[in-house]
Amino acid sequence: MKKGTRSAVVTLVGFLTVVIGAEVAARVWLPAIPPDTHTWPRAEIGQKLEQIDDYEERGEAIEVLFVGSSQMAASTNPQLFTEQTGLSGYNAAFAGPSMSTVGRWLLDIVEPKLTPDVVVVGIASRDSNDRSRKNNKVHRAFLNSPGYRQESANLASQFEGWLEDVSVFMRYRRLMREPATFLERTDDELGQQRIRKQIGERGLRLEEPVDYRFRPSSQRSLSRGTLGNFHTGGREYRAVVEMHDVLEERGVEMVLVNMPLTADYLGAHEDGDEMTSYREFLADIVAATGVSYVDAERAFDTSKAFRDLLHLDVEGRDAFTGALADSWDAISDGAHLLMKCNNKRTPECELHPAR
Amino acid sequence: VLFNSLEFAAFATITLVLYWTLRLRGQNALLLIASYLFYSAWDWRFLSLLIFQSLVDYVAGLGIGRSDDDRVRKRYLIGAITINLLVLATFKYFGFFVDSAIGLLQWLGLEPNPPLLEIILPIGISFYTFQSITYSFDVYRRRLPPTTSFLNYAVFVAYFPHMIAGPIQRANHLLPQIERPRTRPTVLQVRSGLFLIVMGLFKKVAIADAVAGVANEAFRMGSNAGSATLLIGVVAFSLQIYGDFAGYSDCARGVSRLFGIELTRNFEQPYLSRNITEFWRTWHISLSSWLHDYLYIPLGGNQGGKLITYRNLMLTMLLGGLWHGASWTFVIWGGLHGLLLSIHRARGGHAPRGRPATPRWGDVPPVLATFAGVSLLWVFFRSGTLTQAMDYLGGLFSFASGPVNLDHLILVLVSALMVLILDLGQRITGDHSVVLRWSPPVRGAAIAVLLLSVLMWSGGDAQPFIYFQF
Repeated sequence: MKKGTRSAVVTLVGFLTVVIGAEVAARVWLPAIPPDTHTWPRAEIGQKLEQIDDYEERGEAIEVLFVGSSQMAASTNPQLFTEQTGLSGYNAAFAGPSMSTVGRWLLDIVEPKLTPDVVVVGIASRDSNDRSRKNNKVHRAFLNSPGYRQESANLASQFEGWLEDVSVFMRYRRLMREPATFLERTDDELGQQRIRKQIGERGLRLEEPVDYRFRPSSQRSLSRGTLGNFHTGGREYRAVVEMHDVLEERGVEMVLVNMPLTADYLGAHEDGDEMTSYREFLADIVAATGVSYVDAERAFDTSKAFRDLLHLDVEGRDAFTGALADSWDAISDGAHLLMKCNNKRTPECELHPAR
Repeated sequence: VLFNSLEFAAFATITLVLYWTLRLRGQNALLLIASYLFYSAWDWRFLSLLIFQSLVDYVAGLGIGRSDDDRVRKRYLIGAITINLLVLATFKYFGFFVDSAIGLLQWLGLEPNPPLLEIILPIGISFYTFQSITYSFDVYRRRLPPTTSFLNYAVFVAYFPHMIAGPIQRANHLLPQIERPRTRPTVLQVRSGLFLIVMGLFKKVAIADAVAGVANEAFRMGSNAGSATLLIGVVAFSLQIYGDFAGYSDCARGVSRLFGIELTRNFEQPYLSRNITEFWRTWHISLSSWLHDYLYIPLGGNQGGKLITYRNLMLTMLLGGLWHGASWTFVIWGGLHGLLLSIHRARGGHAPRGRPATPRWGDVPPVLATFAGVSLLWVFFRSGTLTQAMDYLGGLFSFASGPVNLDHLILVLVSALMVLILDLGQRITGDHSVVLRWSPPVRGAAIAVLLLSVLMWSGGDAQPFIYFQF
C-alpha cells in the first residue's frame, strides 16, 4: 500500500472510531427517553400526528377538522360532533400555538394528509398577540423541530430525518445541548416536551371532569407571558388570512370560532383596550375574508363550565360541541352566529344569528 | 444564502466544478456571474449600486494611472473616495445623522418635524466600499498599476467568498491573483481549504450558535438578572462574536482556496493577547490594518508627538467604531478602545508586529485582564442602545445574587475551553490548519469531533452571521 493511501486509510479509521464511539456512547446513555420528546416541541403533536397518519394510510375521510390551541383541543369533542352531524370530525388542536403556528401545522402538515371539507379554527386573544415572547418561542420551536422539518419535506430535512432514524446520537443531540438538564433527566426538567396527553379516537383529549379553580399564578403568567406587549394586526392577522386564502384555493371552507373565555381570563389583560383591539382584529378578518364566524367568547356567564381560565371542562366541552353540531348547516352556509349557554349544572348552548 | 446552509454548499460546488473547466477569462466571467447571483440572493435591488461603485473606482483608477499630473491624479482620487463615502453615508448613516440632529434639536427645546425616510442598508456595503478605496489609494500611490479590465476589477469588488463580510482585501493582494492564470490547487491545498471550511463551520455552529442563546437571554434580561448570569452572558457574547466572525473568515478563506485564490488571515488568536494593542493586531486584522494604513498613518500616525498620536488613535478608533454601525453604542465602543490604546501607549506599552509570541504561564494574568477588558467593551457593541448597555453594566457590577442557569454555565465553559485549545494549537504552531499536521489517526479523530460537534448543533434555521449587518 502506498504511503498516501495508508495515511488516508488510517485517518479514516481514526474518524470512524470517534463517530462509532459517539454512537455507542449515545446508545448506552440514552435508552429511556421516549422518541417523540425530541421530534416535536409538544408530545401531543406527535401523538396526534400518529393518528392522522393512520387515517391517511387507511384512506379514511375526515370531513370536518378542528384546529387551534389548547382551548380548541380541550373544548371540542370530535366524537360527539361526528355522532350528531354524521360528518367525520377530527380534533388536531394542541397546546401552546398562536395563529402563526396553527397556520403552519394546518397548511403544511394536517390539511394535505386529511383533506377535510371544512376547517374550524378556534381563536382567542392569546392567539392574536404579535409581540408575545411566549408565542414567538413556541413558533420558533415548532418550525425548528425535527418533526416539522421532516414533515415539511425538503431534501435536506428528509436526509436529517433519515439520520435521526438510524442514529441515536443524531436523534438525541438536541437534548445534549442542555447538558445539566440532560444529565438529570427528570420529567420536570424535560418539561412540556414530555407531557403526554391521553388522546382518544378522532383526537379527543380524554379528561376527567373537575371543578373550576382560579389560580392567581396562572392569571399572572398569562398576563405577563402570552398576553404581554399585546399587539394585533401584524403577523398573527396575516396568518389567519393566509389560512383562509390557501384553504380557499384548495377548495376547503374555513370557519372561525372566537372561543369561550372566563371573566378571570379577561382580567389577565392589562386593560380593556386590548380586548377591544382583539375584537377589531376579528372583525377585520371577517370583513377581509368573508369567513363563516361563530362568536362564543361570552357564551358562558359563569366559570362553572370551565376547568381553568380558558379551557372548558368536560360538560362545557360537550355543550359547546353540541351547539356547533346542531347549527352546522347554518355555520357552513357562511352565517355569523353568536353562542349563548345556560347556567345549568349540565349546560346547554345554542347559536343565534349575530346582530 | 449562508455559508452554513446546504444551498451555499450546492451553489459553491456547482460554481467550482464549472470554474475548473474554464480558462482565465471564462473563470473570471463565471466568478462575476456567481458573485452577482450570490449578492442578488440577498437583495437584487442593490446590484446596480455595486456595479455603479465598481465603475466609479475602475474609471478613477484609469484616470489616475494615465495621468502624470499630480493635481489631476489627486482629483480622481478625491472624486472616487468622495463618491464611495457619500454612498456609504447615504445608505448607512443617513438615519443616524438625522436621528442625532433631531435629538440635539429636541434637547435645545425645538420640535423638528423632518420627513420620514427609511433607507435599507445594502448588505456588505461597508466591506466592499473600504476595499474599493484601497484600490484607488494604491493606484494613486503607484503601488499598483490600474487594471484595464473592468471584468477583473468587478470580480475584485464582488468576489463572493468574502464580499459580504470580508476579510477586506487589499487591491495589491487580490487583484493580481484575479488577473493572472491560476493553477489547479494541489491535493494539499484542497485538503487545507476543506479543513478551513470545516473549522469555520465548527466555530460558527458549535461555538457561536451554541452560546448565542446564552448571550441573548442575558442581554434580554439586563439588570433583572443576577450578576453571575450577566457575567456568563458577556463571556458568552465574547465567544459568540469571535466564533461567528472567525468562522465566517475561515469559511471564506477555505472556499476561496478551492478557487485557487488566497485571502488574507483575519484573526490570529485575539483572545490570547496580552494587551489591547496586541488584541487589535490580531482581531479583524483586515479592518484594523486598513484603519492603520488608510486613516491613522494619513492622519500623521505617531510622527507628531504624543498628543497628536493619542488624537490620531482616538479618531481612528472612533471612526472604526462608527464603521461597524450607525449607532452611538458603536461610537462609544470604538472610543473606549481608542482610550485603552492611548493609555497603553502612554504607559510605554507596545506590541511587536508579526506573529504574536506563544504565551507563557506568566502571561496568564495579562491575557485574562485583556480578555476581561475587551469583553466588558463588547457590552456596548452588543446592546441596542446606550441605556441598555448601562443597564447591563449596572447589573453586572451590582453584585446582585440570582439563580444561575447551569446549562448556560456549562455551555460557556465548554465553548471557552474549545476556543482555548484551538487557539493555543494555532499559536504554538503558527498554522491555522494545525490539525492536518497531526498523525493520521489523531487527525481523523479530531476531524470527526469537529464534524460531530457541527452536527450536534445543526438542525433548525441557519443563524445569520453577526457581521452581515455591517
